[in-house]
Amino acid sequence: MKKTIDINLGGMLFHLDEDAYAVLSAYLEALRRHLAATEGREEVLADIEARIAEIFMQRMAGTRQVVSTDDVQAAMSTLGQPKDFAGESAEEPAPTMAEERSRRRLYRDPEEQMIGGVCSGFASYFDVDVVIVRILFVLFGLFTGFGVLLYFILWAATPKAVTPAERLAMKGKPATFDNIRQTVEEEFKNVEARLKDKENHRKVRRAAQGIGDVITSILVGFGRFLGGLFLVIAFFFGSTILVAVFGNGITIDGAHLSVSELLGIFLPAGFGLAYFWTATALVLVGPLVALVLLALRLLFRQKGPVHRAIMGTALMLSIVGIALMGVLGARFGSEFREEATVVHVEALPQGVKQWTMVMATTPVEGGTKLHFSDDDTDESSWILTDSEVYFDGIDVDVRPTFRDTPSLEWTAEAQGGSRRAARERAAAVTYEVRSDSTGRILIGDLLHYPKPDRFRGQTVELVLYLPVGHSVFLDATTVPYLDDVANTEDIWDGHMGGKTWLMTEQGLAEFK
Amino acid sequence: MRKGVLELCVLRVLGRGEAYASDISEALKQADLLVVEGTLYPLLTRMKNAGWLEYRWEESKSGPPRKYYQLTETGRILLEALNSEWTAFIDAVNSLKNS
Repeated sequence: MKKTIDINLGGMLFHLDEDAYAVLSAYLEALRRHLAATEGREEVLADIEARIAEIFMQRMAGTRQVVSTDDVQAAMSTLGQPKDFAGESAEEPAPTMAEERSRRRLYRDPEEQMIGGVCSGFASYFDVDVVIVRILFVLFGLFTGFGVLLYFILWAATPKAVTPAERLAMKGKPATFDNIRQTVEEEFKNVEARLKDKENHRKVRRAAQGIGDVITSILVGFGRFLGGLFLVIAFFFGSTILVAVFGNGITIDGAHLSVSELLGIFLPAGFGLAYFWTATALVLVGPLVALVLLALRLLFRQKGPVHRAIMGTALMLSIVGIALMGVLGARFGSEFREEATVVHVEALPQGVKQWTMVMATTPVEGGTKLHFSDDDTDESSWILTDSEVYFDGIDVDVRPTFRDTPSLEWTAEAQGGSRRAARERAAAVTYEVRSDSTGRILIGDLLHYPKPDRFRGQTVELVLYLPVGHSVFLDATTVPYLDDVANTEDIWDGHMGGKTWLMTEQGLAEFK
Repeated sequence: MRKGVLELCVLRVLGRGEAYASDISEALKQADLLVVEGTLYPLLTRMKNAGWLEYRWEESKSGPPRKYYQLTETGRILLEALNSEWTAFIDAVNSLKNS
């Protein structure tokens, strides 16, 4: 039994069986290509089609109904192969390797498929063993997870090679009649072989009936299950790596990196990590799909508007992602709208005129340390414990005072959606400053505040107010925290450490 | 060279009266001048576009309507010119054979 396909040749209706149709359409396509440079090509093709119709009519002689491969071949031998068209064009030179390659298209191969036929299509395109391609894909999928994603995108974007002409284009052979016939014959042989195989299989099954049968089906089911599980695991593995990729630029001193913890102190209340990652993934879908499609187009000359639906969907997902990000961003921004400060005045011992300022390490138990730059000169270090956020956003300054006694003040600053929220955050900032009777001032290197407050611009500004005649030795440890300390010689903060500074009428001067 | 000769042959066949593509191809095949019919269609279209041939449609019982070609006035003049050129050419080539 064969399916028939109705065609219109020269205004007449014919029923062709499938094989005849494949051969005829390949022949007409070959003619079309051969006549590409000929003037009046459409007219010539119409004339030839009319002639083929006439030949079919004669052969059918009103008795048969379906045109067979024999009829098509008879028509073709009368009209001849394009290469036999004398005089119309000079002998075509044999195609070079580059031309051979240029005829190839990337298709999925449904005959050799394991999942979607992507790997076998690649193997055909590059003329390598399909096993190699599969191993590469599995390794790629295992180690990056992108392999799996890429596979699915390729699956959606690559057309399946269904017709003989497409199968030939996939293998790089031009779609001439001889090649098509060869392919069709090969296919028939394959089908025959497969049928025989099945017969054998059945015999084997019959022999190994009963328990063996059950074991086989269990094993097959288990194998499928494992395969599915493997895919899911590879996908999640890939997503995890994606998260790590986004964490790039953060150096980790702690035992493990936790981007989610860091995000936890940035994301606004009510917006979980799931929200953030979903939005990020959605935003990425569009560019990712576009990149793959573009690569396919450039590398494998895929054509046509086939992917418009895919691209449109991807674009829409990206727009949804951008919208979600927009909502998040607006909310995040709103939590920085208001600003508030709380001033703390520290007691200093009486009668001291020579001071020493030293940074003291704030004790932190456990926690994950994160910082954004290699040196510690910037305010960019966080330590996250279970309940507290430690941050080195501290500025130190030395200023003159017109009073007789020195004073030490630190101001906590924070931001929030309302002034009240900002003030509450600023008030929740804890900072350690100590001084002793010898004039030593120990200032903490980290401020800290409760974790639920999140990072909303909590910083501390510490100022030592000195009357004229008092001096201060700035220990080298203070250098990273000095913030534009004004002095008579305009010496840069970085060079102020390890020196004694005297407050004069003109301002802070180096004491030698 | 063969290309030019084939054009002359088509002109000569049509010089005998109007014909459709299969008739022309049959005549040429009998004279061993044409191998496959497909060659003829691009040639006829080109000659028609050059103004040497014209055609009329005729209904056919055994298929789609057929194009019956005949020479135009230009085609007739060309045929005569080519005929004498051909005779001169053959004479020239033949004269070498005997000397």
